[in-house]
Amino acid sequence: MALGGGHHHASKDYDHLFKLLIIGDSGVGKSSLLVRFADNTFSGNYITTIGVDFKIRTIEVRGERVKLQIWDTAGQERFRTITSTYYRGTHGVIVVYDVTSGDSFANVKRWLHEIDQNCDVVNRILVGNKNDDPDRKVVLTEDARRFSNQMNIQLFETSAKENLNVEEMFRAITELVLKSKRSQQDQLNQPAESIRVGSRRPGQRPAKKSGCCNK
Amino acid sequence: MIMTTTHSTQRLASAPITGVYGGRTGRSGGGGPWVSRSASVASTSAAAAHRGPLPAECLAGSASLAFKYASLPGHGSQAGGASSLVGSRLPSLSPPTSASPRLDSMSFTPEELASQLTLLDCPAFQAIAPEELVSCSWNKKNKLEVAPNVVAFIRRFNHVAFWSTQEILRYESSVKARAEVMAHFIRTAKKLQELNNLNAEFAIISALQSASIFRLSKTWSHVPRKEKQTFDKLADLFSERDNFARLRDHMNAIALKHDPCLPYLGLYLTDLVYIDMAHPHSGGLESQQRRFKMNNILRIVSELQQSNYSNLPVIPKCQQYLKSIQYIDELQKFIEEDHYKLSLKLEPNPNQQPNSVPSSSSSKESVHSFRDPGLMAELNLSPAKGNCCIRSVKPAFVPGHRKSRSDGANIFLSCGGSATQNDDGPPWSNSGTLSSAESDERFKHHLLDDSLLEEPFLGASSNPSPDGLSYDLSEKATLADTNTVATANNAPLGPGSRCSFQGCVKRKTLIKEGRRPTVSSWQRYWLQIWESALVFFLPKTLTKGTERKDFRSEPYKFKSILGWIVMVADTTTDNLSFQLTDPFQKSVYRFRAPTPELARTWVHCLHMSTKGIDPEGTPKNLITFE
Repeated sequence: MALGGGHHHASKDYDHLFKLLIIGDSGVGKSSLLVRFADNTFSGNYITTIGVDFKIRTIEVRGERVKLQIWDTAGQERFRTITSTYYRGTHGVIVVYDVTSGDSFANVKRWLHEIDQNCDVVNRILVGNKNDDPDRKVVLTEDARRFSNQMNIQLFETSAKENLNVEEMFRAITELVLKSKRSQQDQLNQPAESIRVGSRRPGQRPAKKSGCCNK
Repeated sequence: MIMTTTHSTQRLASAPITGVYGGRTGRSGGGGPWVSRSASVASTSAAAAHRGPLPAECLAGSASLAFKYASLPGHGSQAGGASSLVGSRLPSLSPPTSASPRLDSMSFTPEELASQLTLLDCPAFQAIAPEELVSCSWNKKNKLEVAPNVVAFIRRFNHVAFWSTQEILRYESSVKARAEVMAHFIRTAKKLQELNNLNAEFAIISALQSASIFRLSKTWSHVPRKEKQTFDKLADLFSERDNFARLRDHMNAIALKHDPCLPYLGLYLTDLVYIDMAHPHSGGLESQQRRFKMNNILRIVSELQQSNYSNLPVIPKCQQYLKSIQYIDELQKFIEEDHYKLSLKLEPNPNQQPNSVPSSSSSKESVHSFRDPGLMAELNLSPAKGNCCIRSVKPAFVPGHRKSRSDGANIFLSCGGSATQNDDGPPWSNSGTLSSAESDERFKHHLLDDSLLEEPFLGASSNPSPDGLSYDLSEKATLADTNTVATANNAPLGPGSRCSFQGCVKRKTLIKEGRRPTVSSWQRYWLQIWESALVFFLPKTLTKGTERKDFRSEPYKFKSILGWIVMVADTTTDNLSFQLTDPFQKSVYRFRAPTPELARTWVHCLHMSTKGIDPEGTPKNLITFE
C-alpha cells in the first residue's frame, strides 16, 4: 500500500493515526461537521452497520498521510458518559459551539475545563458552527476570537450546511497534532540530560505519551 | 417498514410491567424519573425552606437560584462542599420523604441494589415511545414535550451515576472506607451485568471513570485486586472504541438468547442522530433509507422493551432509599464541579501544593465564572439567557489569566496528576509523572490573527504580539485613555483632535492583506471618525442595540484611514453599504449603516477623513474645551 516517498510502512496505508474527539453541546452540529468532513467516504451503503469506517478519513498533510479516527457521541450529550477513558489516547479535541446559540458558546468554557480535568495537555480547536446566517448569529466573531485568544486556542467559524471552512478546520487540528507529535519526537531525540523532569519547556510532553500515537 | 413502526407502537403501548411496578416507580419519590423539571425543583426548594437558613456562599449569587442549588443534599455550600456531603446524611438535612436517614449504599447488598435499580429502570425504559426516538428531539428545546420518556430514562442514568459518585466521595476521612464503597459499587455493577441492566451498569462504570473518582489513586490502591479486575473487565465492555463495538457485540449475544435487557440507550441515540444526518427529513415523503434504518433501531428497542423482570423481588426499603436520593439534572454541571473539588480535597494532586494557586484557582475560577449564568441558562429563567451567559463568562477572562497560562504550565498542573494516570491505564498502574507545558510554539503559531489591528485590545502589553507587531500598543493605550475621557464627556480630545462623526455600523472584512479571510462575518461597531482615523467600539452586550450606550466605552481598535478609498455600493440594490479600501495593506472592508441617509453621511465624512480634511468644522452639537 505504501507508495514509497521515503516511508517504510509496508503494511500501513497511512503515516500517522490520530484520534480526535468532537465535543460540545447537543445540537451544535457535531455530527454534521463529521458527515461533511467524511463525505469522501460517505456513501449510501455505509449504514449496514453504522459506524467506525464512517468516522475515519485519511488526509494528506505536507506529503504525509494522516489517518483520522474521529470519535463523536452526538445524541448522547445528556448522558454523563464522557469520562476519563473517553479522552484516553486522544490527540486532538474539537470543541464545537453554535454561533446562533449563546448558551452553547457559554458552555465552551465548561467543555474546556472538562478536557483539562480528563486529559493531559492536548491539542484543541474551537469551532463556531452554523455560521451561515448572519441574521441568526448571536455569538459575534469578535467575542469568540477574544475568547479563543484568551484561551490560546485557534478559532474556526464553519458551516457544515454550506461546507464552509470544514475541511480547513479539520486540517488545522491535524496540523496541530502533527506538530506536537514532531516536537515530542524532537524532545525524545535530544540527549537525555537536556530533558528536565518537571520543567516547562515548550512542547515538551511526557515521554510515555509517545506510545499512544500508533496503537 | 411501516409495519414495523406500528408493531412497535403496539408493543410499547402494552408495556405490561408498568402496571405491576408502576405505582412504585418514579411517580412517588423525588428521585423518580417522572418528576418534571419544575416539579423537582419546586419540591426541593420546599425542602430547603424547611431546613432553614442558607449558607452565606449560596446567597452570593442570585438568591432564588442559590436557593434551589442549596436545596440539593450535599451541595448546599460551595466552600464547605466536603462537610455538606456528610451533612446530607444527617436527619435534619434529609428529604422529608426519606424512610430512614441512616440508610446508605452500604446498607444494601450489591444484589439488592442491582435488582431494585433494575425494577426502577425497567418501566422507565418501557415507557419510551418510538415517536420519541424518531423525532431526534431528546436534546432539543421541546424535549420534554416531544421525548419526555427518553429524557426521563437518561435522567435515571445520570441519577445513578451521581449517586455512585456522591456515595464514594462521602467517606472523606478514610481512604479504606472509600475503597470499600468503590468495591461495593463495582460488585453492584457486576450484578447489574448479570441482570443485563446495562443502563445502570454503565452509569456506575461512568461514575467510577469520572474525573472525580478515577483520579483517586490512593483510594483505588485500596480496592481489592479482584474488584479492580472486575472493573477493568466491565469498563472494557463500555469502551467507546470502534463505536461501542464491544457493547454492540454483547447486546447481540443477549438478543440471541432473548434474555431481558435494559440497554444503554445512548448507543441507539447516536445511531439515530447519524441516520437523521445522513438521511434528513425531507419534509414530504420520508426517504426509504431513513425509514428503513430508523425502523431497524426501533425494532431492536421495542424487542428489548419486552424484557420482563417480574421475577425480581421487590424490596420496598431499598427502593425507598434509592428514590430518596434527590438529583436535579439541571444542576448536573455544578454537582460535577463540586464533586471534582471534593475529590481534589480528598486526594490533592501530587505535583502541587494543596494551597497553591493554579489548579484550585483554575477550578474555582471556572465554577464562579459559570455558576450563575449556567444556572440561568439551564433553568431557563432568563429570557436573554444567551446574552447573559456570554456576558458573565467574560469577567473571568482577566488578562492575567492568559499570562499565567503562557508563562508557565500551571493551568495544566490541575490535571497533571490525573492526566498522566489517565494516559495508559488505571491509576494504580501509574508510576512517575512528568508535567509538561503547553507548547509556546503553538502559542506563537496558532493564534488566529488577522494582523495586529484586528487583535482585541486586552492586556496585550503583557503578551508581545505573536507577529512581533507590537509597535502601536502604546498608541492604542493612549487612545484608550484619552478616548475614555472623550466619551465620558462626549467632548473632543482637545486641540486638533475630535470626533467629527459617529454612529452604529456593521462591518465585514472582504479582503485582508490581499486574501479573503478565513472567518468573515458582519460585526457591529460603534464607529467614530477622529480626523483621519477610525475608532471602533465593540457592542456592550449581544443585544441588538444601536445607540452609543449599547457599546463599550473603551475603544476596541484604531485605524488611520489617511489615503484610503471610499466606495459607494450600487445604490439601486443596496443603499446602506459602502466600502473602505486600504491600498497599503490591500484590505477591503464593507460597512453597512442603518439608513441610506446615514450611509451617505458616512461616505461623505469618510471621504473627507481619508483626505485629511475636517468635514464641517466643529459640529454644533459638540461642546469643545477650546
